[in-house]
Amino acid sequence: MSDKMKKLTVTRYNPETDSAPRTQTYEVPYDDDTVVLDALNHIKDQQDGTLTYRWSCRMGVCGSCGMNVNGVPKLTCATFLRDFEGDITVEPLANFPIMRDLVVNMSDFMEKLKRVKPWLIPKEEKSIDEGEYLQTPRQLEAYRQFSMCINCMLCYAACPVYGKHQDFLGPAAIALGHRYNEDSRDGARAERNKIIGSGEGVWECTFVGECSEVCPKHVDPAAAIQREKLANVLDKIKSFILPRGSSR
Amino acid sequence: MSAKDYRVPEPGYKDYIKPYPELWWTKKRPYLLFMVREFTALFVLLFAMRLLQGLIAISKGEAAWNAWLAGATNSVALAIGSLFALFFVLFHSITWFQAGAVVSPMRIGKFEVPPSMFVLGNMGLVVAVAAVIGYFSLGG
Amino acid sequence: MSLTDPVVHDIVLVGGGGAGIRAAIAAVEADPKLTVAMVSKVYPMRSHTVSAEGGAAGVVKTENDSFDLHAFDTIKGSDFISDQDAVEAFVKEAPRELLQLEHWGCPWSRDPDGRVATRTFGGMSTPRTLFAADKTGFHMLHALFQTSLKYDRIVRYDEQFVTSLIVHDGAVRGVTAIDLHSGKLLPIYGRAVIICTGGAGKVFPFTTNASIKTGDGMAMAYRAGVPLKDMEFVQYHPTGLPGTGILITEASRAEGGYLFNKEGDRFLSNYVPTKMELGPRDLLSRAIIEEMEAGRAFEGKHGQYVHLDLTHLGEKKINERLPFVRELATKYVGIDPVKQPIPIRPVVHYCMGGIDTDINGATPLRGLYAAGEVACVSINGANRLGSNSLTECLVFGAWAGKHAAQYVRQGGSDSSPAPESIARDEWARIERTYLQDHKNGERIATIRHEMQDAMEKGCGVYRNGETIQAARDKLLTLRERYGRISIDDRNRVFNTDLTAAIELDFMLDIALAMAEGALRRTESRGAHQRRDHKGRNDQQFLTHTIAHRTEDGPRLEYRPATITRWQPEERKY
Ligand SMILES: Cc1cc2nc3c(=O)[nH]c(=O)nc-3n(C[C@H](O)[C@H](O)[C@H](O)COP(=O)(O)OP(=O)(O)OC[C@H]3O[C@@H](n4cnc5c(N)ncnc54)[C@H](O)[C@@H]3O)c2cc1C
Ligand code: SF4
Ligand code: FES
Repeated sequence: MSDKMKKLTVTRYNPETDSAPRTQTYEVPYDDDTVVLDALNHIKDQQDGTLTYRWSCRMGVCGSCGMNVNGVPKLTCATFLRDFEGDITVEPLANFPIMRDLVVNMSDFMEKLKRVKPWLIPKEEKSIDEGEYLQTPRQLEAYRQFSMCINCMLCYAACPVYGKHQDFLGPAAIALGHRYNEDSRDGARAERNKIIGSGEGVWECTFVGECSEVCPKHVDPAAAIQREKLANVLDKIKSFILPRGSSR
Repeated sequence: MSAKDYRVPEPGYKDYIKPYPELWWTKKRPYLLFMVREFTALFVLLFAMRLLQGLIAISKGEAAWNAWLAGATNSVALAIGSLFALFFVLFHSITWFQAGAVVSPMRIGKFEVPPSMFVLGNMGLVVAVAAVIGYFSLGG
Repeated sequence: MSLTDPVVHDIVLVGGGGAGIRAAIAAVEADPKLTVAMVSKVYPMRSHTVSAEGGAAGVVKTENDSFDLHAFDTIKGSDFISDQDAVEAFVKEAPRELLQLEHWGCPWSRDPDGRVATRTFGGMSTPRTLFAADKTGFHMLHALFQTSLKYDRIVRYDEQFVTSLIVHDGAVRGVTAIDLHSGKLLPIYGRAVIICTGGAGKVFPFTTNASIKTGDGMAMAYRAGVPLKDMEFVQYHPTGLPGTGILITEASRAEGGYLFNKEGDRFLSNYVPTKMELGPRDLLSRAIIEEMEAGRAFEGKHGQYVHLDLTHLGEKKINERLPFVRELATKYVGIDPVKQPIPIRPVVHYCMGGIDTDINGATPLRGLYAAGEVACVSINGANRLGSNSLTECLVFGAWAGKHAAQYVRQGGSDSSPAPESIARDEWARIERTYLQDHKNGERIATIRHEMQDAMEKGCGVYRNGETIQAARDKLLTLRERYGRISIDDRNRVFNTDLTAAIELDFMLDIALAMAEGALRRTESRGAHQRRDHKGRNDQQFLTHTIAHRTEDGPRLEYRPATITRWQPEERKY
């Protein structure tokens, strides 16, 4: 690393001794290749082993290292120090309870994820011996984007609705429900929409659109939510006109 | 959910829950626009109800319609209110078209229409339709 | 009070990666009453399976392929010390498992007719590797994890760091885990334990492996008296990004990428002329090192490198088949592969060795099973073929789950509980070693860096007696110095300083087993290449290295590899 130095102001919170978070400033050497996560690792290894955060893959795919960097939710392993002018502030992802320092409690999401039934419920059961369900590249394309979610929680940190109403299912959970709804092999949209179409679901969303702005994997959860709104309305109309007809 | 499917940490230490800032909507432009939309939705609703009244009036016959029309044009406050509301409706329609663009991305052949063009195109359409209606109702 | 009340399940599963989740599902499907505790130090979808890019192999399409061909490719790739009975069983089960994943929603890439698509991987003689663009592991892991959510009997213990196995009366009874959220030690009892904790790439400095790949499960089993097998075989992947070690998948060569040296030569024609870029990884990594030593590589700020050129594939194909490669290269080295070749160099990638298991995943310790990268069955021998590993996680994960369930049904490890003192002692050990004030002790990062440095020097692509010996001696002094460490963080909640220290403790054991195995295998085979002992020695070393842990370091024995239908031959490509 070169001898360029950068100041990082980091949120500290130790539930055993602090009643509220405080900040601490560190100075780290960096060069063009240094990401925010490297800087945190440098601090932890060389200066202060008590600094606490999550990370794993360092290649932007495990979803562990989300933090608010200068107020914007980011994957810290994919955010370069070189891209910032002055000092940098690193905070835990907004809208989540802080467990310690930069580690937030995301149990809430884990529960919500399960509620949207993010697993394939086939239209027609087929045994393994009969081979794969056929799916053309075009059918795959219909949901591929929504299957790219790494559960990094940046979208939740950017969503004011979630910030105000923690009961909102939220962008990623709905996007994943939508992913299965759009899968040509699946046949359980009606079941999933009991939750996705409920008050805690898409109708909480007021289309701020920030979730899609911050999403590092271009999942575009906002689009997923709007599409589910439309699908829900159409389903309602259909079931009104054809009370017995199936919803899909 | 009854049984939790993961182990909840032992109580004892508390997670810190940050109060949500009262002025959160001033922090970012998209948040502000969002608040403006929320706030102005009321006007849009009132505007829509006014129009509905008018429609009902038409269905009731000429007298009722004239009464409604007189009410609408004689009160300055109402006229100004309606103007505001019209403005907000236009503002909301942008949002609507934005949502429309993501709900059903438009393709022309192989070309995927970008959302911004979708919105502009639709707004253009609105203006055109309004102009046509205006021409017939004023001139005709 | 720093122990929490114990919990009890039928099966305790350590690890929530590809192998772990597959095992959990297999276990609960095998027996409608049984519960599985799935314990993982990170949320399951963060497990390193998530980073696998290229694909998973299996004879799903039989047109130009057969089980025998897949078996032979694997055995030849392994330089003939995989167990051929295990390989045959593996290739036969592979297609079923890959299709099972399809039925669970994995978005495999497709052919125009709607069937799953395949590509050719290194050392495979025909296209038999299924893929989901170049995010195969990501899609597999998320499909598995999301599917696992529908089973209420898989009870997750997320962010619980397992520190040891509870062994009593010659059988495993459970594990002790630090609950990161509360910082307390939780005893989790079960009648069988399955270890699926993945590999140990982090004993090296330059690796494609995530920070969590610290060989914990291997070390825990090793300490509980279970031998480790074939630890000297560590795979270098030929194409990692210099500096970060981020992997550029073999799929980029499967899709037609070329390797060039500084002189603009496709130098592989001098090494693996018939397979070129699709040669096996050990040979390709060596070829690149040879080019570097001959002065035919580029010089950069992170040392020498060669070029992986994808420019001739065109933007459309790259976007369709290799979008993640494009994203990674653009982001981390500022190079768009559509326009420029990517700088690459060999990087530590995979542990062929691991916990000694049989085909069912059973270890010599009663009630203990293992599967995935942590285990050594062995189908990988001295060199794993790319895309066999994800499939291995599925096949052997499922079998380990099924057999553990069977074992439990037949009574399992005797249900008389293990004495509570075991967990209490474990907590006392942790507190004494780490949480008391050791003034002016050494920083763990220092010891970790010195260990990684020693391993790179001693157990690299090319090795020789002296350098391995030096690494081994260094590891012994590091072990001693480890006794004098002190960590900064003495708090309870989410103490990652503590877990990093325990991980380092595990890694020192693993590194020593690797070095010892390398020192004693005086031949060159697969990923283990000795400059002082060139060439294979089938007379003496058609064997597995079996390492037992003793107070004075590893004690090694050798066990013949199982050879059924395919006799060892010269390995030429
Ligand atoms: C970059 C990269 C690309 C790859 N690409 C391919 C490919 O294309 N094809 C292929 O076949 N293979 C590939 N591999 C190899 C393959 O991905 C791995 O071998 C495989 O995913 C390992 O899976 P696993 O389930 O054994 O372990 P992991 O996925 O590593 O999971 C380990 C689990 O154990 C848990 N754990 C570990 N220690 C503890 C502890 N102390 N306490 C509690 N829990 C613990 C972790 O939390 C995690 O859940 C690749 C590997 C890498 C690194
Ligand atoms: S939708 Fe995007 S931002 Fe939200 S969790 Fe998924 S990957 Fe992260
Ligand atoms: S460390 Fe895995 S996404 Fe950043």
